[in-house]
Amino acid sequence: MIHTKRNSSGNGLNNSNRSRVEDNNDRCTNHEICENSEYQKASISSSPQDRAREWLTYLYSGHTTATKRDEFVVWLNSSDENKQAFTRSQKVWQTIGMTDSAVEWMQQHAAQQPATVPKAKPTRVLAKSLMALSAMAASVALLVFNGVFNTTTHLTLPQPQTAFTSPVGQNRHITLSDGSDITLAGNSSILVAITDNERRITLRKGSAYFDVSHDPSRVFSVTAQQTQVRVRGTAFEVKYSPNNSLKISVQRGLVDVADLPETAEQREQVLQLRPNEQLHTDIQGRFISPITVFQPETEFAWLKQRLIYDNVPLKNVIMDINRYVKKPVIILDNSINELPITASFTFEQIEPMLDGLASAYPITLTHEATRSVLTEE
Amino acid sequence: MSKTLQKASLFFLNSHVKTQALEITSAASKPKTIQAPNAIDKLFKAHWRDVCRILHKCYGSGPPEPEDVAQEAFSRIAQMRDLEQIADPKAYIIKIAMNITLKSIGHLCKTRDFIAQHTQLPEDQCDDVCPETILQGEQRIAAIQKGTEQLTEKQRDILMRARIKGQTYSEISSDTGWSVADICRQLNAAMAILERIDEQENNPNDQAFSSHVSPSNISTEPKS
Repeated sequence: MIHTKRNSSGNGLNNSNRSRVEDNNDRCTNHEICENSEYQKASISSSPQDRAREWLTYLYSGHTTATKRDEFVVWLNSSDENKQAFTRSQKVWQTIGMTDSAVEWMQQHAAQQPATVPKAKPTRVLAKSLMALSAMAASVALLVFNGVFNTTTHLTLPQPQTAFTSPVGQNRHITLSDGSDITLAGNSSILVAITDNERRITLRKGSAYFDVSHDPSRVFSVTAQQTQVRVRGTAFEVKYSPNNSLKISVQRGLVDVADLPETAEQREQVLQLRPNEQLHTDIQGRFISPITVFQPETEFAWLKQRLIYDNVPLKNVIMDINRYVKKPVIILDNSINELPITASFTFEQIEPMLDGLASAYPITLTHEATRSVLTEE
Repeated sequence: MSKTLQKASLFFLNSHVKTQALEITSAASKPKTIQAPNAIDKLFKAHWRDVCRILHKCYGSGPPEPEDVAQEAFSRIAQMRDLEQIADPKAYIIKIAMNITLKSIGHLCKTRDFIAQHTQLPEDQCDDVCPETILQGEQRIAAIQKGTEQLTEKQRDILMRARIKGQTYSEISSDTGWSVADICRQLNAAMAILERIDEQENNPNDQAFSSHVSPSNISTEPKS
């Protein structure tokens, strides 16, 4: 087995106390154990299946290093027996997600979580301060997040952040204290932190256009998932697209797009975009498209309450439309997801546009009580 | 093109796109939805809110947003050929939604990519849950289900947090107060039990595996 260190906590302590004892005396993780000599001896006698299991749980632990991953590759390729053992562990791991036990656990887990919707109070104070409370809650959540997950070696004081959210159905314009203008597309959300040294934005969902005031002393950065866009004075858009990919489109100035490393040992990849250039990244920050040129009149039409598409997949069009309609539009047939759409309409024309879609394309539109459904004709 | 589009009040390129669109849809030879709309609609009305609630509680508000994930899950089940085969559609939808969400967790994506790259298994076979795989792997699922019922409460919680919630050891430790070392030990013990039962159920004549994960080997409590 992987665990070669043992403590002597079998003395009647309850679980939490025992955990604390272990925490102090037994800090062996897969990674650490792999590097000590006791483990080297133990691993000689362990079976390929034991090692496969240890590697699998290590890889999914969220604490891997490049060195250990290289060791895994060497181990895996050293024999067919190892490969078979790892495949067996992997299949078991995969199958756990298909069991009813997994669903039962999710339901129990959900029931144990504290309610997220605050109880209504019989006064109007709550309603009046709802926006302020939302911003405070977001800030507190971020402070907690930083406190728990910040693993740097020096103390950094988290900056207070303010949340801005736009409603479904309309854009929202915001002017920041540094003079930068932001336009949020419908149903979008950002966090903003502005200090003497930096201007930091986090795009939480949707799409946002930034017209950044020039300030050489303070970088203006927009982070979404593992992608960060850095500028000093320019105009650009960052937008969530289907499959959690991101689209960065530059209208003016120069923009650096960085693939943020998840660990200290990884190097940051940076690409520079010029005006009218566009780039797509995936959820992990990887650049998944070459830099392409786009039509700013089409791309930024939403700033003038219009949506324009020139051979754009239907799923992208519907994702945009859903920022501006109260009743969501759903595609129920994957076969029409990639249908190329060419259309131009204002926000107010979305309903007739949907009806027009059904007559212009091989699709059927069904209006239900809570949603509109698109299916293949 | 763009200039025309900007000026148009409501504009489609019908004749041009219609042909192209038909080519696309005919090329996509995916199974056509054959479910009665009423059946899907009933499922939607009965379970939509609860599925969204469970996703929200387990994975937070996103991205991806629970509503988007639930919609995708309902969409996938709507495209299934035989809805009647599913004993518990709600559980089915939750399993699919869970898998969709897990595909959006960064460290899991990297691990899946890494494993797929080095085991030369297609990525979707590494860690995918779809209606087809659920139906095809019934025997293995039954074995693993049986295995999970034999785990201690703590082992099951850690296993599910790692596998179903996609938490790292640090996150599990932060939520539960258990040490990272203990979490590592319990997770390996739980997996050993599941692997042993999977082997027994699917290959009962092979005793070699079973001997490696005898009860003494998978003890989870620290020995004094």
